[in-house]
Amino acid sequence: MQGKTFPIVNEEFVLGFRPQSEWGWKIAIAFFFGELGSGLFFVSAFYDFTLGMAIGWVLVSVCKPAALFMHLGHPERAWRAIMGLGHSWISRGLLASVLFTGFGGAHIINLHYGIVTGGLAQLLMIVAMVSCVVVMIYLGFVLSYSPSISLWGSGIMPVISLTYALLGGVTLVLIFGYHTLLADNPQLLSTLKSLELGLVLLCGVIMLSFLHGAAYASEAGKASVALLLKHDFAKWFVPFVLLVGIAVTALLAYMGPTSFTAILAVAVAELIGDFALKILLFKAGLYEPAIGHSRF
Amino acid sequence: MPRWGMLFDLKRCIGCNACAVACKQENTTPTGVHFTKTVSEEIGTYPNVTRAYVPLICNHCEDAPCERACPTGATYTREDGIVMVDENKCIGCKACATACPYKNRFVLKKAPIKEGYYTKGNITPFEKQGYVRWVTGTAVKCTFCHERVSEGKEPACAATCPTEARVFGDLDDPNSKIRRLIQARKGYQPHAEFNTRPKVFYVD
Repeated sequence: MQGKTFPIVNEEFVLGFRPQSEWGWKIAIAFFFGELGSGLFFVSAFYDFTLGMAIGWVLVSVCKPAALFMHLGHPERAWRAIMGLGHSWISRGLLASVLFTGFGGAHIINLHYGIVTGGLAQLLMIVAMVSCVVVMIYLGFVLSYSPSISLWGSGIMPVISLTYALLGGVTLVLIFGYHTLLADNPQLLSTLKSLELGLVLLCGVIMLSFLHGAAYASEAGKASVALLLKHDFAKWFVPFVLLVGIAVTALLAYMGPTSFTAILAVAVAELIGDFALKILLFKAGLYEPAIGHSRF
Repeated sequence: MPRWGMLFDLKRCIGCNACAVACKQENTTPTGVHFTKTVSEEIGTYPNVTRAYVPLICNHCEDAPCERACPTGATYTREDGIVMVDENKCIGCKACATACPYKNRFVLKKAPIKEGYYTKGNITPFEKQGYVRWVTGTAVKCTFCHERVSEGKEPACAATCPTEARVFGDLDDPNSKIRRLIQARKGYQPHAEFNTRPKVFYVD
């Protein structure tokens, strides 16, 4: 097969790469809130930091569904999405989100008021944490399901979701817990900052692997990566995702002092990179041409 | 029970898009929705340039990614292999549209159906009688003109094709024209590497 370059086309009656246009900023916001909130809840839960858990719960159980409802063509039928548990990651994610909303909320209330103890409290915590992990990763599985969009159709997508969720969680715990949880615990502050730096570096490696994998997966993947690094979206991807979201965040996390202003700056940089990545993932997704090779 | 499929003879297709017009006429699909169409491909460099035509349609995959991605079960496969959508179950999440490797799922937007094609806000009688079948906000697709198939007819695109580049028939019948053409001319499926097992074949 000869190396053939196809043009990027939209609705024209021409063979070429077609950009995906069905999922856009509303789904990106839902992804952002879902991963950030579950990450915040997960990290906060290790320290019984109820404020962080509550904010994470609100992000997952209020903000994310609000964005998803805006996206749906028929939100009044949204309950039907639970029907495909056997084959659809959207259904599995919905079930996890519902369980998280119920058990996560109950776990926070129980931690605060100490209503139940023993086995029941353990059950609340375990179901909340397991469903929280599923919420963190399922969006990656939803994306990795598209075989023709090489940028997404990779097993690394759930890993990206998990890593960014944990990074966002650690970053926000540093912010919300600075005057409470971390105020009289410099050891924990130091631990979380080290964890943050490690996760940022991990995000950098995963991002390189993601771009490398997509570029060599197919012609469409190569074209998507070119969009992100050289063409239409490079002016957003390179400065916001790579520089601000990873390089600047890592540098600030490594060199920055432990003042609140410095921690806030790291968080802002990290969240900008995370959100830009979510938006650009959808913008740069390209379908393979309908027939993958030329007739001649 | 037959297992319906379609074959495209790329040597015969002249890119007239009569199939696309017939489909529009049969299904009254709104602006921007083309259940079938013929795209062109420019091959070579000047002065040795030629143009090839590639008809596209829903491949009614045996292992349809759109069906697997659908969280509500709105997308389903009939016994005769036609992949259908129950618009009363569809929630409009568009997961099918992103999962379909061939980009053959379409989301019905409100504006084209409300405004019509020709004059904004003034839909023609043809559009009026046809648009009642569509539920906006849902994801729709080619159904191989299942009403026509139930009556023993071919899908509108195949019936219209002036060069008989589209062959519709039973893939399980060893004597059917489609089956014989696939065997004689080494029919191949689009992106077979995706393991979706399309019921649409191409021959060169």
